[in-house]
Amino acid sequence: MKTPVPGLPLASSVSHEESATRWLGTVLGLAAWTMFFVSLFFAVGWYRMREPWPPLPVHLLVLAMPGLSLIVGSVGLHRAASSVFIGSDGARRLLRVLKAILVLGLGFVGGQAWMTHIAWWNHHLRIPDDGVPASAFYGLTALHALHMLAVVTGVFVSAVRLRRGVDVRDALRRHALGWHFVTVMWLLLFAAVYLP
Amino acid sequence: MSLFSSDHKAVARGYLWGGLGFLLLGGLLALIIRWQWAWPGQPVPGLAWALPESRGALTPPAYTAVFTMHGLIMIFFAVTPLLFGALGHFVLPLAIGARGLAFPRLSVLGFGLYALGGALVLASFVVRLGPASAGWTAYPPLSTPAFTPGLGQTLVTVAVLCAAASAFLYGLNFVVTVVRCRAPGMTWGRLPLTVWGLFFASVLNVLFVPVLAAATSLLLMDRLLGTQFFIAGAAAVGGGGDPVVYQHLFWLFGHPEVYILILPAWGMVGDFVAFFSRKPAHGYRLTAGAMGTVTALSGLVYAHHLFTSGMSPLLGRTFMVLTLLISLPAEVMYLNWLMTLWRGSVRLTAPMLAALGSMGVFGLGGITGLSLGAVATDVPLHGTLWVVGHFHLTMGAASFLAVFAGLYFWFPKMFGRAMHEGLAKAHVVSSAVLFVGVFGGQLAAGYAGQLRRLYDPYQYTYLKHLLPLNQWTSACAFLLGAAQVLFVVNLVWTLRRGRVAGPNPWKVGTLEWTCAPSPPPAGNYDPVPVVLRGPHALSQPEVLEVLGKDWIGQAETLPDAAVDAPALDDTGDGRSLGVGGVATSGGVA
Repeated sequence: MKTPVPGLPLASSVSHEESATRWLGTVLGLAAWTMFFVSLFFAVGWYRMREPWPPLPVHLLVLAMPGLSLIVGSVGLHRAASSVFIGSDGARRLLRVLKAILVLGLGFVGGQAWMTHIAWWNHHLRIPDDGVPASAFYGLTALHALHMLAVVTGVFVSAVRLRRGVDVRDALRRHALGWHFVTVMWLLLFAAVYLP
Repeated sequence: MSLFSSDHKAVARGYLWGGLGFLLLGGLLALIIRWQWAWPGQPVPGLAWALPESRGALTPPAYTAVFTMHGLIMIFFAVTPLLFGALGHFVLPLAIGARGLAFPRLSVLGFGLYALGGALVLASFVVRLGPASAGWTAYPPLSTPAFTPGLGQTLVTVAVLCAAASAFLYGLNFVVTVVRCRAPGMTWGRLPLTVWGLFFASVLNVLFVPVLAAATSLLLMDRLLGTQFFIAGAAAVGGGGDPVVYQHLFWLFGHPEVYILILPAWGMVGDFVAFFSRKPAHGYRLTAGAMGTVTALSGLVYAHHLFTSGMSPLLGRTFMVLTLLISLPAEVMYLNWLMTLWRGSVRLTAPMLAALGSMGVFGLGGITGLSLGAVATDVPLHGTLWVVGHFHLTMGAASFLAVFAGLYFWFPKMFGRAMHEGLAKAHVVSSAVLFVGVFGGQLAAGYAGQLRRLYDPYQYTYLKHLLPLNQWTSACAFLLGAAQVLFVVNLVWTLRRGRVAGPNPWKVGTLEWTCAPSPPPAGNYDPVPVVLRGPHALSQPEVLEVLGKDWIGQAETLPDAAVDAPALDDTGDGRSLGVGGVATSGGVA
């Protein structure tokens, strides 16, 4: 049985000033945190320059598959954050979109887990036997997935708050930014670690 | 106030007590190191309970743990939290006329992470095999499980990650607060120099702390998950990693960290020399610009720490030039401070003495650093006590004195009580002199070739003659430790029975002193002040004439009688414009 979701007002309940401050904080925070991934990719680049990078024993399509849900989720969340959802109907529609996005986010994390599982058990890609490439593959995949989990947690909290009648459109704009960030970092991860 | 209060002043007090506690612990560890260098292998008085097997004497493993934890604690859990966590959290919103930080809950989260990190550091002392012992830099392969297998190193690595996350959060909070939350009229040209220092240092924090987080995360995975990012040589399986990668990442953070620790100090020195010379800061814009230039350059010089790592000579030369270049803006700033002092009505209050002490030791540290920025002189001095003396003067002594300058200055605002001025002066003067004694002694020993981490330097014949020098240096260190009792006594006495401070005991014009009671209430200002001039509007002839005092608040309006007087602060830095728009900055006797 469906429970009614309180409606969303026409304008966001967060003041423009406050919204702009939070937005700036998110933009600056994510921009600065790029340095975290840049540092990781610097390390991988160092190793790749030192000796040939062996191809991973997992097909590139399998490696790319989880990323698709990330890209689709990025587009979906961007549209959800920038669309106008008003009233009770709008809130219900937004909640449905968020549920779909949560499925995509968890699908990405699940896909990464599945892919690393395949590499570990079916293709004998072991840590530490396979040296730095295996370390980078598992280590950086895990660090990236942790970031994705943080974004998914944010979207989940927003969904719960929306269900309780809180206007979360402002928060969603910032979560969308976080999702885009993780998507771009995944593309860089793909280029730096997964490609031979 | 509640432990979980999101009021920036409550968070600042949390950092203050935590930072002072760790300063005490780190200082005691320093004294143990100095004991070892003066009387190697002799039992340390009062340490038998901790090292019963050796009856209190430092064993080589205990010695490595002690110097590792001293460095880690001082940098990540004492000086940085005192500068940013305590003084930054307290002063920054007040000085820009904000009701609080942009993200109050973020500052509480940051403090929680710092507290967690601190707890892990303390816990590491009681685990099997002791705390971390791979040096404060945690260079692999020493810091990998192959060479430091205990749980202590892991706990401390996580603790550093917590401190890094905390620093990132308050850095971000400070940057956004300065950009978004300034009071009406508080233009960039009217910010106190302390705020400029905190702002630039926060920019460095948010940019480079993630690099440390990345290096530490990879190291942690090497320790816990069996990855091999930094494990090489015989310890590696299946083609290992490279410890030099860690060194690059660490110093990409580590060198800006030096400026993270000194930029707020420079800002405070800039403000205090103006306040206590009763003159506008000379070259305000140049000083702020010089701090910005140093900030920009600080991210481009890190590899001078790696001159001996086998890097390309071409790279070495490039980094040498960039490193030496950084001294130019620093000199501009220094000259501006001296010009501010020149012909000023200098008042040697405790904060001023501490600021002058900070200037002095930083100058000495800066000059001795030139030889480490140049490849030819760095190579023979690398790894010696010269390096230790140099960086202790810059990021240890100078930051320490700036912390106390700030603490003595803002203590009345924080707690509503003024510290005893005589005890405070004795504390900062004796500390400054003894700092020069201790770190000057280290410079001399390093110049003579003493390597920095030797358990017993005198097992080498060529270092035997340095024993008396090291004993004198250690004596200075023990006196320096004893001098800190003056602060502790002053602190305890003031908190219990100190003189109640007025709202503006220093007679300066910045917002926190002129628009808020001591201590300020929750929300700081009601209403938020409208800023009219810069922070150093001191000894203005028109103010003297109309108000009969040599200072005016940043948000204070002159009575009607002053309408005919020349306009204030058309220069944006607190100076007045005299006839024909010529800036005047004369002092009063």
